[in-house]
Amino acid sequence: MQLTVDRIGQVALVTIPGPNLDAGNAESFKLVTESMMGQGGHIVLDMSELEFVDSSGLGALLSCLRRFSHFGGELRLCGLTKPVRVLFELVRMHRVFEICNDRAEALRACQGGGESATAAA
Amino acid sequence: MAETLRPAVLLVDDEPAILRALQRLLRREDYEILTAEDPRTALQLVAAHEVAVVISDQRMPAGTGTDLLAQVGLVSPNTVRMVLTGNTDVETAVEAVNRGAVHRYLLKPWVDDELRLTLREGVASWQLRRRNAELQDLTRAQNEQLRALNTRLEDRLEALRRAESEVQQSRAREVVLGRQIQESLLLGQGVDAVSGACFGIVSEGAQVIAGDFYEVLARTETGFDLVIGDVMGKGVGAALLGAATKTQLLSSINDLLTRNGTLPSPARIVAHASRRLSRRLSELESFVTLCYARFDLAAGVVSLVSCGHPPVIVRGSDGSCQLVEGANAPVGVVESETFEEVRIALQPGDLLCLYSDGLTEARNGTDGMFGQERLLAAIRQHGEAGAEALALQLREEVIAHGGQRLEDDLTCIVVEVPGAPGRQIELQLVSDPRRLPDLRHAAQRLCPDADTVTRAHVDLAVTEAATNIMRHAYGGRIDQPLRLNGWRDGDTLFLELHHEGQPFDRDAQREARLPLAEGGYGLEILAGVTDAVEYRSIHPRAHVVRVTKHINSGENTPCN
Repeated sequence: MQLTVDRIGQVALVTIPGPNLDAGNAESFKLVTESMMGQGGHIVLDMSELEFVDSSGLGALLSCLRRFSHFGGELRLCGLTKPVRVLFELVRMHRVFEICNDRAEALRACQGGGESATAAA
Repeated sequence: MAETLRPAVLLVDDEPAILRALQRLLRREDYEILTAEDPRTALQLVAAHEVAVVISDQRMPAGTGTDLLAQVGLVSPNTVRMVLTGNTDVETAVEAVNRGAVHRYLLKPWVDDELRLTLREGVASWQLRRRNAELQDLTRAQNEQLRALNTRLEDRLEALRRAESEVQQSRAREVVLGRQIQESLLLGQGVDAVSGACFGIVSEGAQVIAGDFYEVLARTETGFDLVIGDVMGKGVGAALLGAATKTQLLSSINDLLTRNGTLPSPARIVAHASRRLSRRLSELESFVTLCYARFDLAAGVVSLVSCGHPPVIVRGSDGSCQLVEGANAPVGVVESETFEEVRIALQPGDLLCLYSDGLTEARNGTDGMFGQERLLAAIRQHGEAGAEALALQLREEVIAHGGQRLEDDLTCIVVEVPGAPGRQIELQLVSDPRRLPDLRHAAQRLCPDADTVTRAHVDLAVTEAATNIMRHAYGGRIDQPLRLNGWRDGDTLFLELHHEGQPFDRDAQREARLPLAEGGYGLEILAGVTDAVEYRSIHPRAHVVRVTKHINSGENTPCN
């Protein structure tokens, strides 16, 4: 899996390629993101290209969150499409992850010292 | 001493009187006469001359005749050796004849005529031996030449074999290259962007790469252009021409769009591309058959421009089939300015089958070509199962008909006009997680009327149920059989996943539902998005997971 990473100041903006993050590619996503973790700071995962995430994709995102928090970093998600939001709300993950509407909101949240508007649409 | 053409006869005796007597005796014979009074001189003469016959006295002060002749035999094996002996030495002479050192013995005193005769026989025998030796030499030389020729021939054969193997390797490389061209340049990748229709696509490369190509260009969710084509000929050349044709079509669309600001009609696109391609194609003595189809599912219409391509088959939901032929010549045959466009009205549930002639012309030794009749029968019979299943069925039938061997590319695209609820789906695949999108795609075909949340739930239901089977029933093996059966009964959707792995243990399933365990959400999600999940075994090695889901139709259902 190829991830696009834009660095904006202290923030790493990572676009997860679409359209699926499921059992077919979640492992590959985990492997790629593991190499990016470990330096703390802010990371924003842009999920706007994803039309579908399943439990494996969610597991990979959770592992990402745990690992990043472990190193003292802050992880935010943004750009959740409707089907993905359906899943997050179903398993109450919108309370576990910090979720922003879009990139701009996520960047503002990172600069504002961790305070952000949580999007619950 | 000069060589002479006359046969040489060497007389050896220590008594000059005897030598003279013999010389006299042989004066009238046509021999070169040589004489020696002792064995040593005699041997020197034999070494210097080609001597036909030696007649030697047996008893000489410097050695015996038999000893001399034995040495002559070593120096000049063809020389006929005779010993002239008195009565007292007969035994020795006979013994010498027996061991091969001497050919004949002559008794002293000799009878003149007898000695002359014996000598003539000896000379004749020498001539025969010499001729024989010459022939042997010739044979040896010819054998040598033959061997050399053989070696050269083998070298050439070896070179030929090497060249042949290189040609084969290069052909194999060509096939790989052709396959890459086909996969990267010739085959369309735009199907995923069209969500308003279902596709069944079969694209099977022949043993030798040919030039089939297709492309799907999505315009909106329900509007797309589909082009399918076939370049005459085979090999990398045909594959490249196919790629060039496709590129030209795309660039024609772009040119016309930029120039006029509106989407050009299929007829104009084909005309534009044909103008650019025709001359080049006829220079290359090739041509392209193609069918350009513009689908507008919202308006329920498809516009076709077919240039020498096989007819499009339209199957109604009642099973009836209609053939739609194009009146245009293949691109590259004649330079044409205008292209005829055919419009067909579409009904919900219609299937359109576009294919290359590799499908109808697949042949075997006994039954001839697969043909249009078999194709129509298969479409009538299996169309009910939907685009994907029909395409797979056609592929299977054609390959089976051709004896598992394709001589030409086989391309077949089935487009299904959505909106015929209550139908069944069946999808046969393997337990590879990378096939999950296919499962979702198939399940979605049963609920085109559902709202966004329900559609998301159906995606999750089929994905989680299938992932569970792949991980737990099959332990992660990705080549095991998995079949999805689905149907609608009014507002209720039924999805059944059939597998042959380990049956599910209900208690273990419940334990797996521990919250917050990474990846342990699968069953929680499955329960959350469905109305019921049942696990059944229909056979010790055949198990089913059945999911039931109520379908909410209409959009704008709040998701919070």
